[in-house]
This record gives sequence, structure tokens and C-alpha cells, in this order.
Amino acid sequence: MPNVLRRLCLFTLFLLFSSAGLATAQDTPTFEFREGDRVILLGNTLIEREQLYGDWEQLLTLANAGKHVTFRNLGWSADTVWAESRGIFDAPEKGYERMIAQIKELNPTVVIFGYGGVEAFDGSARQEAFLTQFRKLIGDIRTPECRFVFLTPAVIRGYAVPVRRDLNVGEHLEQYEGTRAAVCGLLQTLATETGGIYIDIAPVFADFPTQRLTDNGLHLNAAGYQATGRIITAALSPQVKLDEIDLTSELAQNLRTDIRKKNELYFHRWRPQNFTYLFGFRQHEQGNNAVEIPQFDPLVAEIETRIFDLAKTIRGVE
Amino acid sequence: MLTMRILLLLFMFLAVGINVALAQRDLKDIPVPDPELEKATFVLPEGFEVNLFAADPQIAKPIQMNFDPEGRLWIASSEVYPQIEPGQEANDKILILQDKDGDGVSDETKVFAGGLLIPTGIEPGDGGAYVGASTELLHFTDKDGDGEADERRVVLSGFGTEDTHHILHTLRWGQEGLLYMSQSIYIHSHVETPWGVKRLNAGGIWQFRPETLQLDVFARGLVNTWGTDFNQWGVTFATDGAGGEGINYMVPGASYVTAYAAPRILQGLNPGSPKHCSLEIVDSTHFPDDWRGSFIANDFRGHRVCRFVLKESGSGFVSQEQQEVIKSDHVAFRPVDVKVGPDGALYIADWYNPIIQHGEVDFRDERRDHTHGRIWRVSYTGGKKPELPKFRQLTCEELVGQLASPDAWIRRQAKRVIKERGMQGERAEMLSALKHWARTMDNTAPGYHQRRLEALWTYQALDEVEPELLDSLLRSTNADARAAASRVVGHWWSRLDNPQQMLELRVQDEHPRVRLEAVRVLTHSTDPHAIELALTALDGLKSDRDVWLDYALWLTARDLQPIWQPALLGGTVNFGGNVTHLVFALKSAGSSETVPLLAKLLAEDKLPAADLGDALEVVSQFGSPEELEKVLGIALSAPPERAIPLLQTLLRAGKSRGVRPAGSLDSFAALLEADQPEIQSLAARCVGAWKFESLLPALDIMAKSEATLPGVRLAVVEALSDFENNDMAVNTLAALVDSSALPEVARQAIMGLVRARPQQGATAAVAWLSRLETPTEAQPLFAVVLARKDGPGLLSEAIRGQMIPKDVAIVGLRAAQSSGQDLKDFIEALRVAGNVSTEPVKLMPEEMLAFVDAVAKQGDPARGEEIYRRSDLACLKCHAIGPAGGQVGPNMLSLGSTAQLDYIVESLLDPAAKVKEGFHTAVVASSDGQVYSGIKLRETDRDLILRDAEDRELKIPLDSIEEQNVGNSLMPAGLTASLTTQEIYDLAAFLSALGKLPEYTVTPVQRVRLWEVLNATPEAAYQLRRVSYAHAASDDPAFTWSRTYSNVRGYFSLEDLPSGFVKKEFGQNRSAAGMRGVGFARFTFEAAGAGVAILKFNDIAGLQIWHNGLPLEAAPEMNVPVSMGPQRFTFAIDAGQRQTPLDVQISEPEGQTLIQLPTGK
Repeated sequence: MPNVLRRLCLFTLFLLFSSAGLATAQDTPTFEFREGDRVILLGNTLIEREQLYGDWEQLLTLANAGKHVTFRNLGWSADTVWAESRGIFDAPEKGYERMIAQIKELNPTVVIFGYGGVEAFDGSARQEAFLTQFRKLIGDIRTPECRFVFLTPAVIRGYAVPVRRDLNVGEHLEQYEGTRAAVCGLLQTLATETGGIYIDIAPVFADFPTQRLTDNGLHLNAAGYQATGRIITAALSPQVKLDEIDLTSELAQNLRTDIRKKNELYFHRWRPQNFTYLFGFRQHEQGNNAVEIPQFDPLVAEIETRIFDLAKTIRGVE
Repeated sequence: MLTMRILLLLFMFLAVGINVALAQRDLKDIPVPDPELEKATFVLPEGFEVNLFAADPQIAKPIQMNFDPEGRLWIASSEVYPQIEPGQEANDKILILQDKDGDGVSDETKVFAGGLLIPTGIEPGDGGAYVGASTELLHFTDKDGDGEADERRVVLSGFGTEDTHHILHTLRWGQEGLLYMSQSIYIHSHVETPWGVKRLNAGGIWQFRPETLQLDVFARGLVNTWGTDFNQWGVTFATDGAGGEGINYMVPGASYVTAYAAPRILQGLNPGSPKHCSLEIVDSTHFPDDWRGSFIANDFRGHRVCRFVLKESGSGFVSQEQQEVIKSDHVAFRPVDVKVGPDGALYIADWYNPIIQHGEVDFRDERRDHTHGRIWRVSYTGGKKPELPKFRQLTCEELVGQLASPDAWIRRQAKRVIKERGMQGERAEMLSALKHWARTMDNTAPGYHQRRLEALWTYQALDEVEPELLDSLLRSTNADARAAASRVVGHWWSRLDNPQQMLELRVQDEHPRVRLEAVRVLTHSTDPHAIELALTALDGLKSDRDVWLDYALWLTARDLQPIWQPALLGGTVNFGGNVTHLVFALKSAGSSETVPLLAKLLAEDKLPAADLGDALEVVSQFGSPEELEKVLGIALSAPPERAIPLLQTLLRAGKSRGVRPAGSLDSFAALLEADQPEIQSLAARCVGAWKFESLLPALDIMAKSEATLPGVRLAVVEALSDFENNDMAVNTLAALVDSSALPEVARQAIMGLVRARPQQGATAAVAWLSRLETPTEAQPLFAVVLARKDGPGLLSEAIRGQMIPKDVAIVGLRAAQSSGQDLKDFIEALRVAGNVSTEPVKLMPEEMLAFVDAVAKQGDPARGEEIYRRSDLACLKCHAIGPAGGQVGPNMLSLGSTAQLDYIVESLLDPAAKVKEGFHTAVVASSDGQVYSGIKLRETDRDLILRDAEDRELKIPLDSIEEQNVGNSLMPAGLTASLTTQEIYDLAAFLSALGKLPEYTVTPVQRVRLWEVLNATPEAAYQLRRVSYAHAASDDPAFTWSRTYSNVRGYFSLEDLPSGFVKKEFGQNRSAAGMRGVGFARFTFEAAGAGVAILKFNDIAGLQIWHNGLPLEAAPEMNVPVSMGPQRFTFAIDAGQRQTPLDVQISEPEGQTLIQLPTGK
């Protein structure tokens, strides 16, 4: 399809979806964390890397101190709603089944999705399929008490990506941005359908130069996770005044360190190295050592208790 | 004091000598970790020396290492490996070692970065270092230059961790400044970049430009893709830490063994090698001239640092192993990386561990060492020591001038610093210095072409397109330079004015490797005519057996198919009428749309004979019923020799795809009555494959008629078996199951009946088996039974209460056990019916200790080798030792030096207990009710390819697969049931000596290992009596030959020589009692051109020799002129005159590389 035509199509799509977005924006349901909420973060690299930084969790934990909200990060680099990164030795369909089983076992009350970024690179071809598959994913994990949150993919700015002499970067990003906008529209649709929360992280890219928020124009760095964390917390804990939370204190730093440590331990729990030998087709050789893996659970629980206590101390709540 | 020390060392040495032997036997003992004791075991070539550069406690567990421009050695090390424990802190490190005074010993160790989880790759650069660890490629920056990292950044993430010895590793800067990285077979990676997502399943080599985040897959496959280097011309090579093919020549974009979804792969250059890890091509003035260009790789299992010499052969290379750089029998010496250092010497990272195994030995096995590690330095006594430039302080001109260094280490580091300084603000100055340097080179100086190439690569590193220099290098008089420049065209494709045109001459270059590179680069083209250009590479080749070029063309044809196929069908691409080119493109990337083109050529008889086979293969794979109808029309009116390949094509289409020709098949009946039995048979099989019911009555008559020729009748019965739902056909089969006159026909009928009426078939099968006299004939029948889901159950049922001959039962048991399926009941039924015992033996720990002890005390490796070679055990059929033997199971080459004795004993007694990586059985159930099992070789987009226990490749269409499971080992349990306990001791002793004791170690010397011996049949004896011994060197069909192998040392045993021939000489019957007769043996090899083969014999007593049928005068050393093609040497061996086994070494004059001895079965 000629470029102009494609752009025209995307623009039409954008108009369609943004008007839908406007309609939903007016009656956006408000969100509040409840006591003992179990939150799953599910998506691609945007989600996966958050566990290294911990800023989203730090903010949300502090904003909801005393509510004992737990977070499990199930992000997987380059993943899509088809679980394309999760097949390991099997087809993605099997990886998808394993993911659903794991989510059911965790029995979340909140799922924060970070999907659509990878799909935005695929051009417009898969958009309808994306919506269908995302609906299936939601249907497969839905429970009466589970609420959904939809994060938009990152915005990529031409000045923030590496310089390339062999590629028309502008054209490449224009394509990405066009599809991303359409994907955002689809995410809004899903939020409306599920009574969920749609959170556009794009405003941070308007407020700050993206070089400072990303490592490479696409992936958030520490500053990026902090900035997006504020947007997410504002949307999910609107009753809390963010300015009142001091993130620079030693205790707040300790809290973040504990969150990172907890994430690392949980990562060893659900995506251990040597999967082939512990659980895969060579488990007859090392499967006996798989008994070690659940031993991460008490370590996670222990550190989580400390996180709760620390958050309460910092916020001065009981 | 000194004396005391020596005494102490001597004492410890003695102690360790015993320990080394015990370590394999005793489950608890490990050697004393003194580096001096380890060093004392090293054997080096004359003139070379080794010293300890660094050791524990300064360093531990080195995995990868690389030098920086300051000459410092960076090491990735892991004590956490192989698996983090709950509660354990991941605190693995990147270390920097520095030899400050240049004495070859490290003076300082710094922890550059800690807190890592099993870092497996390290490459310094860009103000710090890149590190591969867990799911990430990290970059650590040292901002203040104090040798400690200040900043950690995730560069890429999403690499798989399914096996910690496969995760992102082997980081290395390429000649053009790109970062190459490897992952291995179990890894599945999914990486986001701003330019899109990159995924790589299974092994492969990544190519990465860090500053732009451009990530590509350079090559796919290899089991443990562990070692990459580039020669001075930028040709890429790799080693495989879990594969057995030595050095691999890496063609850009190609796939190698175990590559995911690869329909075709390239092989390594040293098949039958032990596993080799890491790779360094020596390009250093420190070493003697004959070492320049040598390939150094580590045999970490055999405690060897190996050297290979490569020579060009067509567009690829041949590789020959040389004497080891280091050979040791120290069980903990585990060389895992090797690099040339700033002083030109070789540095070897020693993982130091008596246990290396990952899957086979428990993660928590206490014998796993977590604290030791060494760096050894190998130097040449009196060798030159290049001066280390202070790269960062040189002017741009001086720095660029370093690219002319005869030492690759200096050129590589100079290029690094040029790039880094270029990126940090000195770009214009660097480019200007480079331009000046490239333009003012002395074109008569040695190394001129290589230097110009260095200039081109430096432009590439700086990402600056230089079309003028590129164009001039493409026209260089030096072929290596033209080949390397061709690859650069691909990198700059989008920025060159007419890249395709630049390659026009290169595609038809006089040097085949230039053609190969140019052909691969054409993959970048979007022009439909690029394929026409690529295929001109086929023209004017001196040899049509260039596997690499053939592969490159095949791959490019497939890559470009979406572009050329529509143009071909639309008529704008026509290959200039060159049918050979067209057929090549279609056999590479065939599709149903293109078959009409071939059918038209067939009809017009325009297909050259050489292309016919390929063209027909495309027709059989993709032809529609309408196209097959046209082919049948041609066959019906063609003379027999033309009709036969066409009918075979139609039969294949029917069998593999269930497609039959469209239209009326009335005229087909005539073929069943053809004069030629082969056409009759083919026609009958087609009727079956097509389920062509109207000709069934005709088949039925033929099946029943005694007048039908036996071969044809067999085909007819086979065809009837295809009509499993037709009563007439099945009744006829049932009537034939007792025809004792034609046992093969009876067996075929039973096999058909098993498919149609399984119960009745099973009963008939038991009756047939019970009276069978030649047990091996039962094999196909058992195969049919096992291939049905209900087969084993029904046969078990039918055999209950019946007796069959023991040997027949054993054939059945072998088939059942090597099927990889769980067939307990069936095995039990056969065991009872044949009265045999086959249970796997499981030893308790204390029994194992006693057993291992007995092997050590009573086992005789020499007797063990005889048992290994026994034909009834068939060990060699599946397990080669070095180059000779089957490929079904792991190569036993250096088993003794890598596996503990308890592991060996367990594997013999209970083969399913531990299965070597890559040797698990895949059990596949297909939609037509068939069950296949074998080792998974590869999977294409259409088929799954398995290797079964018979070393055959099975192709299963993916569409037909209903279920796929991982099964047991293909090695039958109870193989040792027919052995006495003493014989098992001997066998275990032999296996544990392999690669450990000199007489059971395969040396790099080329020896004849694959032999054929003349079977002592009455017909052969008659022919030899009638003509002469020389007749054995002919192709007389009266002679039948059997495969046999030299022993591990490379000696051909006279025991393997059938000598039942009767020949009277001087009035004596030499085969009479007490006299040993004459036997005949032969071997063959291919010569890639005209030259000389040098044959050396240990002893020529009793030998007569013929070369390709012509007699040669036997001499201890013979120079035999050879021409291109197969060479056969036939020997008459008079056992009356000769007692010694025969050792034949084959070498070539210096500078010649034409001979490749065969390997495998």
C-alpha cells in the first residue's frame, strides 16, 4: 500500500478510536486498591524490566500502605497477547496455556497489562486479531473480583533512538507511531468493555525529553519508570496525594531495594534457570533438584512482610 | 629448603598420580588442586612452554575472557554455576587481570563488577565492558577509569536461560566492529529493539551493533555454539562444545546441526571429532611461521588444547588436526577459552573441575568445584614479543597506522580504539587519517591487500560508506579481498548506488568462495532478477561438488522466493532460458505454482539428463493432480528407461502426499502387463498408493498367480496391503500368509493383514515367526507391528502361550527396545515366548561401588575392545569411536576422560537412567495411526526429521503429527544380558580407557579406519580360484563386502578378516587345518583433484595391494598418484605370512589438501 494511503487509513482508524476514547474518558471508572489485593503485572519488556527498577511498585505500595497489596511480575521480553515469547520448547499456544494456568493459580484481583508495544511494530495487519486475542486472554483469566488495567505502549521519539545511517528512521517511527495510536484505541475499547482502567503513559514523553526517560528511545530507564510510576499511581490511587510521599528518604530507598530483591526471588521461582533440567524434557536428570524451587516461596513471603511493615512505617499508618 | 620443596612436590605428584586414577573410580576423591601438579601433567610440542598466568584464590571458575587495548585480561567468572540455591546471593564477578611488568604473570586482580548471576560472556569496549548474564546483555561503564564499574545498563534483554551452559556467551568483536554473541541449543530468545523484535530459538550466532542496536542472526544451529573467530580475511569460523564436527566454516545466514526449523544444514570440517569449545585463530608474530593461521580450540573433555590447520577447498575448507598444544591426563584440567594476548602468547582459561557434566551430574554433586580456576600462558621459547602500543594516547594517524601490524591482536585493538575515539568526537580526524592511510599504501608491500581490507572494515566500524575503496577491493587481484569486500556490500546495501551491479562479476568470480559471498549478499536485493544473477554462479565451476556454494545458492533462492516467484510466473523472470538455473531455483524453493513450468519442459523433453532427477523431485513434492496427469501421459507413451523415473515420481507423490493423477486412468492397466518387471512392479505399487480400485481385480489375479515373477508379486502384495478396507484384497492377503514357498511374499501379506485385520494379522504373524529360520527376516514385520498403536498389544495377545525361536524373540526385543516406546507388556510377552531375560539392572550405591571396584581390578580393556566390536552387540553400529562407526548414539571417543566409571557402568546396565543431551528419543504419533521414534535431527516448515535406531532418517509431515512425546534412550536395555559379568567388567574397563590411556585414544594422525572385507562366500571363493587375487580389486557382483573398522588405535585386526577362501599354492591347501588363509580387505577415499597420496604401513609382510584395480608394489611408504574422484585400495592379506594387525596412515605432500577419508558407518 502506498505510504499516503496507509497513513490515511491509520488516521481514520485513529479518529475512530480517539472519539471512542473521548466517550469513555468521561465516564472512566475510578479505581481503588482493596485490602489484600493480588496484583499481576503482565506484558512485554515494559513490564519485565519494571521488576529491575521497582519504582511502580514502590509508589503503589506507599500509596496503599496498610492494605497488604502484593505484586507478581509476569512480564516476558517481546511478548504479545499470543504469548509468543512463552513457548520455550513448545509452540506459543502451550506457553499461553502455562501462563493462564499460572495466573489462575495466583488468582489475581488486579491485572495490569502492558501489551501492544510489540504488536505496534507489526504494522496494521494484526490489529483485529490483536483485539480478538486480547479479549480471549481476558476471558480466560476473568473472575468476578478481578479488575483490569491497560497501559499503553511507549512513545518513540526520533531524537531518542540511536542514529542510523542506513535507515530512514523517521519513516520507521511514523509507521510505529501510527500503529501504536491504533493499538491505544483498541486498549481503550477493551477498558470500556471490561470496566477497566486505561492508562496512557504517553504524557510523560511530552513532559520530559525521552532521552532521559529511556535507554534507547523505547525502553524506560530508572527515570522513566519513576515518571510513568507517577502516572500509574495517580490513576490507580487517585485519592492519594503523590507529593506527600517522600521517595528520597533512606527508608523509601530501602523499600525499593526490598521490592527489587523480592522481584528477583520471585523471578527465580517462576522462571528458574535450567528449566530444561528441572521441569523440561531432561527432568529425569535434575528433576530431583526442582524441590529447591518452591523454597523461594517463604523467602518471598518473608521479604513481603518486611515491605508491608516498611511501607506502614514510612506512611505512618497502622 | 629447595630440596624440601621438590621432595614435597614429588610426593604430592605421586599422590595425585594415584588420585587421578582413583578420581574416575572413587566417588569421593578429587585431585589435589595445586597448579604445579596440574602443570606437571602438561605435554607440549617441542620448543613450547607453559606458565601459570593466574590462579585461585585470585580468580575462580573462569568462563570467558578477552583482552582490552591496555593489555588487561577481562574474565567472566561464576561460582554460582550451575544453579542458584534458594537463599544464595548471586555474586558472580567480572575480573580484570593485569601483567604490569610484562613477565607473563598477572600482578593485579580487580573486581570490575559483582552481583552477577552466572555471567557467561565478557567483551571489553565502549568505556567498560559488555557482559552476557542470565536474560540480559549488560554494559558496565567505568567512568573514572579506576578499573571498577560505576554504571550498569541493560543493553538487550529477553535471552533464554533454559540451560545455564547455553545462555548468551562467546562475545567477540568482529573484523568490522560488530559484536558477535552465541546462544546454544536449549535457548529461546525474544528481544525487543527500537527497530522491531528479534527471536532466535535454539543455537546460533547473533551479530550486533551496540551503538545503533541493530541486531541480526548471523548463523543458526550448532549444539553448543561455543567459539567464534575470523581469519585475517574476515572469514567466520565456529566450534561446537557439544557437537562432534570440529571446526565449522560459517556461511552467513546458514544453518548448522540442530538449527531450529532448518530444512538443510551445513556440516563441520572435522566430523568424528570430540567436542571443542572456544576458538582462536593464531595470527601472531610470536609463534613460528607454520603456526600462523592455525586454529586453536579446546577439547575440554579430553583435557587437550588442540590445533588445526585449514586449507581451502572450493568455496570452503578442509581441516586437519595437528599435534596438541597441551595434552594432559589431569582430570580437572578443563580448558574452556583460549585467546592470543598482547605479548603474542596463547592464554588458556582452565575452568578446573573434575566434574564438567551439566545434566548428567547432579547440580548439587559435591564433586563440583566452585572455587578454583587458572589462566595458563603458552609461549614459544625465544619467540618475538610485540610491543604493546598505548592506543589511547596515539595521534589519529599513528593509531590508524597500527592497522598495518603483522599481529592481529594489535590490528583488532587499534580498530576498537579508532571506533571508540571516532564515536567520542574524533570522527572527522579518524576518517581523514584513514583515507590518507588507505590512499598512500605501498601496493607492492607484502600484506597490501589485507591492509586495504582493514581500512574497509574500519570504515564499516565507523559506519561510514566508502564506495570507492569498496569498489576497488571488489576488483582486487586477491580473491580473499574480493570475497571479504563482497560481504561488505551487504552491510552497505541500502546506501550504495547500485549494489547488485557491483556483485555481477563477483557472482562469477574465478574463486568459488567469492561467488559464495556474493550469492549470499544478493539476499538483500528486492529485484526479481537478483535470482537470475545469483544462479549464474553455477556456470563454469571446476567442480560440481562444492557443497558450500550449492548451499549458499539454495539458501539465497529460498530467501528471495517471495520476490522471484511472482515474476517467474508472470514471465518477467525466465533465467534467460537456462533450464539448469530454473530447476535449481525450483528444487530449492519449489511450490505447486511452479510445477506447470516443469511439466511443460518434460513434455517437450527439454530437461537435461543432469537436471531430470531434481525436476522430478519437485513434481513429486508439489505437483497437482492435473500436472501429475500430464506426467503420466508422458510416461505411458515413453520408452521404459524414460517411463521408470516418471512412474517413480508419480508413486512418490501418491505415497507421500496421497495425490494421484487426475482424469481417467483406464490406460494404466496396460502397464501391469508390461514386458519389464520393474514397470510392472511400479505400476502395481502406484495402483496401491493411489487406491485405484478399478484395477484391484487385476492385482488380485496377479497376486494369486504362480506365474507372476516373485519380485512383481511382492510389489502386488504390497499394493494389495494399501486396500485395507477392501474385502477382496484382504482375503487374498489372508490366503497368502501361509505361502511357505515365498517367505518374503508371505511376510508382506502378513504385514498387510496386520494393517487391515490386526487381530488376524497378529495370529498369522506368530505362526510365521514360530517357524522362521533366519531371525533377521523378522525385522520388517516387527517394525510394522511396532508402528501401529495397537500392534504391540495385539501381538502380545496372540503370542501368549506360544513359543518362538529365542533368536527371533531377540530380534523382536531389540526392535521393541530401540523404538523408544514404553512397551513393557510386549517385551514381557516376547521374553516369555522366546525364553530370554532382558531386564535393565539397577545397582544400589554399595553394589555400584563394588562393581566399579571390580571393573578397576578385573576389567581388561583389550578384551573389552573385542566385546565392543562384537557384531551381535552392535555397539559400533550406533556409537562411533572417533571417525569410525554409527552416529545414532554419542561418540565414545573420549568417554573415559569425561565420564566417571559409575556413570559408564550405569549406562551399560540401565541405558535409560541418564541420557546424553541431544540423544533423547522423540516418539511421534501421526494421524494415520503410525508411531515413529528416533532422535530428532531437525524440523523444517513441513516435516519433522528423526534418526531411528537403524541410523535411517525418517521424515514425518508436520501436518500429520497428532502427538509428540519425549521417550527413552534408543539404546536397548538388556543389551548386556547376553554378556557374562566378567565381560561387562571388560567392556566397562575399555570404555573408561577411551581417550584416557594412549592405546585407546584416537590421535590426530589420519589413519584408515573404515574397511570393507570380502565375505568368504562359495561364489567369491570360486571366482578367486578361477581368476586371481587381483580379481578381488574388481567390481565382480559375485563378491559381497562387509563393513569393519580399525580398532581405537587405528589398527585393522586380522581377526576381522574372513579367510575361508581355498587357494592352492605350492601344492598346499592353505586353508587346511593349522594353516591360515588369505583374506581381502579394501578402503576408499575421495580425492578432490589430481595429486599424491602418501601411504605408510606399519609392516608390509603378507600384503598385496591394488589401487583402483591396478597392482602396486608394496613398500613401507608409498607415494601414489591420484586423480580426482574415488580412490580404492584393495589388499590381499596372507595371514600365513603376517601376524601383525595392519596400520595404514595416509598423508599428503606439504601444501596439498585433496584427500578426505570417509567417516561414519
